[in-house]
Amino acid sequence: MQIDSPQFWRAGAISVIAVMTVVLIMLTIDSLAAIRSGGTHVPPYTVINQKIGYKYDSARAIDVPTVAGDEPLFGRAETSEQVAALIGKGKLVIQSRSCMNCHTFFGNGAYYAPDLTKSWLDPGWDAWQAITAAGSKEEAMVRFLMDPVKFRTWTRTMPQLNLTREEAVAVVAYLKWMSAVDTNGFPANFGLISTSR
Amino acid sequence: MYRSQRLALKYLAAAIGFFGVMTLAGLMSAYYYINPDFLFGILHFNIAKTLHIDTLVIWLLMGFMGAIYWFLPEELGIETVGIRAAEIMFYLFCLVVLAVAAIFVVVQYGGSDNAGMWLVNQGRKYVEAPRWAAACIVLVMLVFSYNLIGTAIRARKITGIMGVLIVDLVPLVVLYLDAFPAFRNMSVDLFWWWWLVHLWVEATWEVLIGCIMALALMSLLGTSRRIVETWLYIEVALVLGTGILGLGHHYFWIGTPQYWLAIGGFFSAFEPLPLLGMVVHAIYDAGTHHMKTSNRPAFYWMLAEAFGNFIGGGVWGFMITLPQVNLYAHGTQWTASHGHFAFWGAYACGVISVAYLVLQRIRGAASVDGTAWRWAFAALNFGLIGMVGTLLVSGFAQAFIERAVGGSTLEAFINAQESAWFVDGMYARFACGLIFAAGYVALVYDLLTIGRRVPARAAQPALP
Amino acid sequence: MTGLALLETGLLLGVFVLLAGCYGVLYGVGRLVGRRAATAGAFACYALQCAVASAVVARAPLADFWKAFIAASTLAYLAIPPITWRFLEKTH
Repeated sequence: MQIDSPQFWRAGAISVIAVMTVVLIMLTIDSLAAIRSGGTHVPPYTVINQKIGYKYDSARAIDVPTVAGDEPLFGRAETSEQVAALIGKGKLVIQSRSCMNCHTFFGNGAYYAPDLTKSWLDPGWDAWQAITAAGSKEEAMVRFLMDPVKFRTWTRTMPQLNLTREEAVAVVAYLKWMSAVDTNGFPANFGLISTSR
Repeated sequence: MYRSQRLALKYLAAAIGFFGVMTLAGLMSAYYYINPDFLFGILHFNIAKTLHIDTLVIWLLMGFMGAIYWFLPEELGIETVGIRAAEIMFYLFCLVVLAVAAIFVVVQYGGSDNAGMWLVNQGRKYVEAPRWAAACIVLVMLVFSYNLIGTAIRARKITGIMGVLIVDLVPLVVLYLDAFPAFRNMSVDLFWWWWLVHLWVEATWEVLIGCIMALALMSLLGTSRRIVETWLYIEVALVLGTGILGLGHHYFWIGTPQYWLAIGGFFSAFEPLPLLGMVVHAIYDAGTHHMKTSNRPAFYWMLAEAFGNFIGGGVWGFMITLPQVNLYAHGTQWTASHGHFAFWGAYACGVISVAYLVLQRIRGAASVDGTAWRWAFAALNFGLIGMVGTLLVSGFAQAFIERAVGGSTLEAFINAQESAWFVDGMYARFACGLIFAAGYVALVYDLLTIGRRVPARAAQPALP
Repeated sequence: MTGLALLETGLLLGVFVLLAGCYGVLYGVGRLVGRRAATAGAFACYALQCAVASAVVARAPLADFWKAFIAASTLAYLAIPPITWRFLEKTH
């Protein structure tokens, strides 16, 4: 078989695709184990009952989420079944309202509105607590989500998406869980909250 | 003319029509950035953006299918098997797309339950179409696969290009099945979603357009089968060799293990190398034919494809593909700039090229040329380059102010979006979008009239 | 990475590949028309590409692995146009 013959390159193409596909499948098996809820990179859904932070890890040279102590959402610790249902609901709300076509999650989506990967940890919620006259960060988030036109953020107003309270709570739970996912340091330096570097 | 080729013409016409919807929805999406109150309370950015990116996928896919229905009977020497079913599927496909577009504009959002996912909007970028529509698209793709495989079996003939095409149908259909689930876990959701988005766009679609370009080259330049098949295999080996694990550059930040930073960065950093080879190939083809052909617009759009693919995919992609840069550039207008350029170069130019090839044959023109296509070519490419240039400026501002300096909070996001660099970039992008839209109008005019205006001349000999 | 270093690195990486493209185009044109000026231009672009690669290695805040990758790929870029051209002549 000569190098300028189609057969030579067909054999080459088949070999390359076969090798790459096998490697991809092996990496996929390993990655799926790491990203299942409770895997090495993705926390269990019950993490929403705990206090979540984001801190520079000098060994890995990136920012990583921290989970320490109890801090249940709305002050009520939920069972793993309740939490799983809540997170499932939150995901369906996010899909049904097409949030991803204005916002990004882990940087994926549209770029019209801010990234929501670590939005639970955004220092801006302190001010929103005062604006919405809420007793807690999660309550402020719920009030904002239920009436974003009333609590306008800036010139690009988030539209009224007619979320019920149950739906808004589910979204807040989802955002809290998502903030605890180990995203290899994305976004970097979030909120400049790290003081250890 | 085969019935399959009449169907091809319908597919290409629908593709150009949806290209127009994409352009209009893109202009709307761009306008929201400079006037956020536009249609507020009636139709929001996310719906316009959904229409923009979904019709992008649809018009390119329809263009590919049109090209294949055109070349298939010529390649195998018989009418396409199951052509009646294919014709019905065309109307089904168009109806589904129009119905989904109407649902997005009128209904917009469904409930946060399975019924909402089945009937209204799934809210996953690129695959927002409700499940009933996704099921119809699967049916269309299955009939398309049956047409190709059935025709090859009946013709008892399998050329190299057909072989690649048929093998490529398997991932094309299987990967689309990810348009159905609603995983609770966002990391798992995005993991599989990227299999669909990346492995369609940077693998199976690349192979599809490679096959189509191979057939088009034989038709346009009379290049020998042995040459185009050799180069098709080389392209498949290089594009999939780098593209399959290049998937990893989407796995940097979605919760996946850290080894993806090295794997994804490494393989995607190789992706410009085959694109450079294609540029050299284009120079060779253009030079050996002295830029002479009986179908100048098709030839120029084919050249634009090679250069656009290299610059949009290669240059723009390499800017942001290494993890340390991507950490800041990911999810900003910098990425949008790359996406626009790469889609344009890799696919859109190729589909337009095929449309010109088909029209020349249908209208029986010995040669097609003129001035209208030059205006369309110039305005579309100038508008596109202007859009990606201005998006790049805005993206630089966003990555700098929001990501590197501000730490990606809401406040940092707003600061970036309100910076003069960003805002001016958005105004300029909209202006360039208008130029692009004018180019689209010129393109439609030219496609409707080319070959009709020019009197048929003595046929030029096919160039070697 | 600081904001300026980010933009500088992104631009350098983009220009690095763009220069490879200029090298490829001019190399092809030089071979087609047999003009020395085009071939000289091609290698001038490649020289600039090497300079950009050196700047990336020397200045960019990238990990050593990626700097080594850039250095190695600079050599690969040198080879691609002539190899592709020779192969095109052989196959056509």
